[in-house]
Amino acid sequence: MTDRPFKYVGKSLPRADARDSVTGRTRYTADLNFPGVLLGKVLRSTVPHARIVSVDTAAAREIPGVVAVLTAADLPALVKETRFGPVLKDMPILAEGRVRYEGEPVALIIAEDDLAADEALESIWVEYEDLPVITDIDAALAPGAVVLHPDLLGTGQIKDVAAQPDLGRNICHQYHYTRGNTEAVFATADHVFEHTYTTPMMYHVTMENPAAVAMPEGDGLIIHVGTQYPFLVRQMVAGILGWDLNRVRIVVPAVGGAFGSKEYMNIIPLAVVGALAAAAPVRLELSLEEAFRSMARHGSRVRLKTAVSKDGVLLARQCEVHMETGAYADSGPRVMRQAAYRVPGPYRFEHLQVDAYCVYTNKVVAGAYRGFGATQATFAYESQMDEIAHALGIDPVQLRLKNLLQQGDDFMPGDTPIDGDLPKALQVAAARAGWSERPARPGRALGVAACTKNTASGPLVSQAMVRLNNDASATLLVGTAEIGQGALTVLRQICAEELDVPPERIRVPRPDTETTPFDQRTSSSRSTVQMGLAVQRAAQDVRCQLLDTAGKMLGTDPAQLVSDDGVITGPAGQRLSYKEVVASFAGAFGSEVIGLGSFKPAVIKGPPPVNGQVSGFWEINAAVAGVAVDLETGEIKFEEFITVTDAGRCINPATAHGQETGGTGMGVGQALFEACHYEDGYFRNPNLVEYRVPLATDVPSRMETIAIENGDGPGPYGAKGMGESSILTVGPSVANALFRATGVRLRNLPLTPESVWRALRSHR
Amino acid sequence: MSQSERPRTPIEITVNGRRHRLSIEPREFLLDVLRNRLHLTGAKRGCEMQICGACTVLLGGQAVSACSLLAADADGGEVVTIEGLEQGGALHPVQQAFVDCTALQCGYCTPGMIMASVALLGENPDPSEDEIRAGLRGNICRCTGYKPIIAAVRRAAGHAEEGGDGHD
Repeated sequence: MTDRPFKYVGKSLPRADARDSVTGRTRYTADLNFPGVLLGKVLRSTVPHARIVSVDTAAAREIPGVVAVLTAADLPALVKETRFGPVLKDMPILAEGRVRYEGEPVALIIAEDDLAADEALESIWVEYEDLPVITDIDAALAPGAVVLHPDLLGTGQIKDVAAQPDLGRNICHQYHYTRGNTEAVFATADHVFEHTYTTPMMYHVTMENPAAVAMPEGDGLIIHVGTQYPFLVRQMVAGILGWDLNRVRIVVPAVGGAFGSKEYMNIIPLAVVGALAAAAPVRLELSLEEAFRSMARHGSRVRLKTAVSKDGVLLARQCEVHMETGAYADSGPRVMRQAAYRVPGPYRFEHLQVDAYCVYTNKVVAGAYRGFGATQATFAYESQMDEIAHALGIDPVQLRLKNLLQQGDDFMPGDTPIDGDLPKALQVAAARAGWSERPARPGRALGVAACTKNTASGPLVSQAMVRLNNDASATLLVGTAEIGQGALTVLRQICAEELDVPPERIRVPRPDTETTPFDQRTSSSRSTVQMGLAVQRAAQDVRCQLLDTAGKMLGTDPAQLVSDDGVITGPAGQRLSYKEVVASFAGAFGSEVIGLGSFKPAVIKGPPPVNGQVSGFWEINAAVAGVAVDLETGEIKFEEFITVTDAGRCINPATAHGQETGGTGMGVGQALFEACHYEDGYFRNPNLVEYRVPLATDVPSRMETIAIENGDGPGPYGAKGMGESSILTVGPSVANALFRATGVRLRNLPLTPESVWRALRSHR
Repeated sequence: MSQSERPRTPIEITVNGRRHRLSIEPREFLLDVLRNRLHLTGAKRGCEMQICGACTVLLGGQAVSACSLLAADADGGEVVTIEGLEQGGALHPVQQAFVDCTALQCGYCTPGMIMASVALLGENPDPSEDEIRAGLRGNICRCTGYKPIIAAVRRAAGHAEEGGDGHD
């Protein structure tokens, strides 16, 4: 492109879907209507761990309006593989002989309406023989504990991590890394600190509960589902059916929030077998309680042992990480691996040891959640930084500045170096909060945290297509899912900039594996960067073809042409509109100009880092939280939050800052309210009364989001992705503020009034 | 029992200015009638227990949770849904403010949030930020952190100089 200022990039243009959403026109899966669609409902296990002695569906099958009743025994007639999983194929479509969590699908009813379906659910008799319940990480690892998965089948269909299970100890994956000699340093260091931090299992609480409609079409299957991963889902469905990929079509409507909970299969296999059994369209819509029982965020236990010199230089760290993954692995092994990779924090360590384990328990399946293991890791390492600062009498900001990785430093040998200015981000946050001018007082204090997160790592491919019509309007085809983050708006702006066509004239349909080109997945804050580059290249391809055609029309070298605002000007002042050029493209018949662009990760030179994946870029964030603590009740009033993120370049500042306020909002929930409570494997609070998510009165009334735009990202115009780093610093900065305000250090989230109150009492 | 055997009750409700005579099952909630019978899918199903606010519509000008109000109890009433706010192609000021302040992301909470905001401004035309936060406690948003939503309501109340695109 030329050096002219941006026309569309960097502007807070209205979201592409804004008008539809504010008028109720945006359609999610449950809003779609299909003639003859049947209802699918799931009979779920009422016990956390048991052998299924018998399932009696005879009475259910006789109920008028019931079309089909499926149990595991019925599936081999419908599918080639009854088990699936992105890393380990450990998850059955319907429970096979054993249930491993309360809520696990045991039978599927397909019926004409909800009354028939509900009557059928109540008519099915299941006899369970209880098995010992693995209630938590310690129970899973205890010698002699019951083994939850004695017979795991091969590895999953998507192989980028080699599973290293230790099934006898209920471990589905582990990770180990050593550099230097931590023990030798511990022996001679001035100070050694050791602390253990925990976070509970949580649920994403998307406003839209998971839903899917599957329908046979010809010899294929169409599935309408709000998924982040249409192409991986297509691959997994085709895999369980043993079909060619092109017989499975995934169509993605609007998605009402995801945050990682709508990545892999979830209820899709149930919709698939229902549609095949009924030979008709089948709709499944989960209730909120069912949604709570379908997907979770990992609980964690992180032990950090850190050697520090007396003047505050970090020397060595040992990390032991346990991630509680629930009854099936899902993407747990990868989440654990990333937590383990990130747990040293954004600090220089010559000596480092990390041992991490992904542990099965009899609870809801945990998978991806915004932050992907970094949320748990950051709470631990940023809490300990303040504990170290306090013990040494060093200001927490100064301690971090002394040890933070600088731009260009290696986080891990073989990986992309740190590509942003962490110390600067921290200084900006501290200055904006008035850190030096506002010392802690009893009941009121500021707390700080900083983080980095490797992002968009691994073999990720994105492809884009731009179709310029002969009226100079365009269609941009991408497989990126709009899950609220504003991806389609941002990609449209990039396309508009490169194509030199106003965004309003560019249409961006939602993903459809039959028509939008391949995209690996919408996750890991990668789409602005990686799909953005593909879009940029596709639009540039169109412009090149236009200039070539214009050159032929004018008898000029295309390099002599100037293009601006949809008009191509020749060296002698001849003017051609895009319309005229496209009309000429196929010899004055109707046609379109099609451009293609793709992104593939760079070939790794030299040995890859220990987690096997080179990072696309680093999300970087520093934040300061301001709290007031009621010393009588333990309630934390979260008054202010200043968060600084390295955005590279904000393609659309409004949507970029929305990712920051949104991440902050979710972080408030993690810090103060959210936890899944279990008793002996029974899930006690799968509802919004007893599982509290932040309301409008719970988020800080002063919420400042600052985006650093140094152009340090690998994406278009120096952009980075964002949206995950903002959640990482909320929990630890609030815990650190709590300590500075009260002297009470809590190492377990959430920081409920009860836990604060108890700690205040024993502190006195 | 079969569809034909189920009890029915007649109701008459006005939705977005249009009168409907319907023969419903007594167990139907207003949300079921709006979504399934009238194909107005703007009001959403969420928690089905009056906490999340995704089903918020106006009944007689008051914000109600359509998921928990029996349709029979709305007999004779006037309902306004998100689809009824736009007039002659022009967005309602609250709708326009949500667009201008980027007060939405996934959009699922948006219809309910807008209806609750309209009801709030109906009772309190110039609310403070704190009053807006308290007034919207019945509507959960998981995506935005609420900040741009508060700005949008302030903007709709006439404070156009605030909010803008919702960030610093």
